[in-house]
Amino acid sequence: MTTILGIETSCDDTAAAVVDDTLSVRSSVIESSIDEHRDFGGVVPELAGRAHLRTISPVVERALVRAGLDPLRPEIDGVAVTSGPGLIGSLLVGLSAAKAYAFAWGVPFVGVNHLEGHLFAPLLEKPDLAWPVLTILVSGGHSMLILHESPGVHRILGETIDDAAGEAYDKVARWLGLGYPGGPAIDRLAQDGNDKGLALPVSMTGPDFDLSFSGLKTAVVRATEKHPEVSIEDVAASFQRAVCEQLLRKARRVLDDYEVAGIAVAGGVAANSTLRAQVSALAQERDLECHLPSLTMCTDNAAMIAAAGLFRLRTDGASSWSLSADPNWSLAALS
Amino acid sequence: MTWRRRAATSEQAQRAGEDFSTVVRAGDIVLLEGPLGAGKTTFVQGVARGLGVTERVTSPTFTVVRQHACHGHPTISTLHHADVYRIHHLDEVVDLALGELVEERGVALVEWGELAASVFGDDVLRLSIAVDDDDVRIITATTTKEDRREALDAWSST
Repeated sequence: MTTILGIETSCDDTAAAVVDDTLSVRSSVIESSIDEHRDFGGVVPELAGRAHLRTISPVVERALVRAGLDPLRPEIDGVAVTSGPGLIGSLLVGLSAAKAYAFAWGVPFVGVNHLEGHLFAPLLEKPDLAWPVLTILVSGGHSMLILHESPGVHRILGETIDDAAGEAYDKVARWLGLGYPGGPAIDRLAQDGNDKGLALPVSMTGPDFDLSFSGLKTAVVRATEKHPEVSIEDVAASFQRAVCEQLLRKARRVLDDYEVAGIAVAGGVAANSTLRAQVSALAQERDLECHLPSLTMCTDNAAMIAAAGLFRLRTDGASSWSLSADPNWSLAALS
Repeated sequence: MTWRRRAATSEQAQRAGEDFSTVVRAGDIVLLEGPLGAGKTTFVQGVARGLGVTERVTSPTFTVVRQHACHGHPTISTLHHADVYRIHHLDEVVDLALGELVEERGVALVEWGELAASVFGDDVLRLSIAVDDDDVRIITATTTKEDRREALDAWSST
């Protein structure tokens, strides 16, 4: 059996996990540096880098111990680490640590694309899922619709032409005076709001699969200036409805054009309750498998990096020791 | 000196950016300011088009800075698109080393640049985008660079 240690530090979470080649998660540890960011309304890049430096060793050690391994001489067969995309300072901490562990233990290491990691997350809960899968990947840094045809074979069908969905959530939340991260705060308020309380335009009505959230963010700013009487709950609900409507409309269009067996959500915005409910309803309507990974598997974690790393190690072999972090590593470069 | 230009639609804002690409020169740092949703990224998309960037220019908020290759431009080969919205300490803006990066046939456009203006000094181009009651964008350019007057006169009279 092949067992691999995964490490993920691309943004504000330090994570380590041990996964074996049956895609069984033997341990998964996530330490968030997010509390340090609440005052600043967003991930503060260098601050995240420094937090990773403090947490990386204890997090890896905890992951190994929880997997029943000796943290000094673990019986593992490789180390997988996110080497992009992400914040350069944060990525470097994980990458350097992964190289050091792999070198010390005499095992290969492999650099993993963070977005491909997200694509592998559904496999951790259902290793025998039906292919192809349409993945709606929505996070603070990315928003894309991806056709995942078979493990590691994927195609970006559409992506944001401006802001990421999670970025729009964070910026609207900051505008409304809510904390960071913006997603959970808006989602919570939206539960008590009227989603037609604030009139917002429908964006990206074109025939392609591309997305856009910048205009929506601007529309919220302008509309709330003009209508200060609309409650914050209604604003949150209306914004959330507009985000989900766009994603679902584009997803439906993909399902009309492509033969898929399942639909999955990934990324931080995939924790959104409205999005999950609507994707689940869509899957039922089209008779598709629905993959709504648990919240810890949707958001950044190292188990998904280990899963993608197992695949890449098997198909492409180990990465070079000179591999450097690539903050803009495109998923398209892999296919 | 200040120059002004109006943009009633996002297409016009992009066009203002595209025209602004004839104002910038290798080594320039351009600071963009304006409230959330003013159209800073839209303007940069126009500048990028004018400089010969062919790939898609999206918000750099997440990775803080993105580099884009300028194709076919005689003097500028890289557009550095930065966003200091999420940065809290000025030291971190210094660490981005934009001043050094633009020395290599580069131009830097910095969103929320006013937050870090002290890092870049006076020898910059500043663009401020305001939104009036009719949703029209008023783009104001200011600079101490004497040698840009002519180009900015042309830019503002379009």
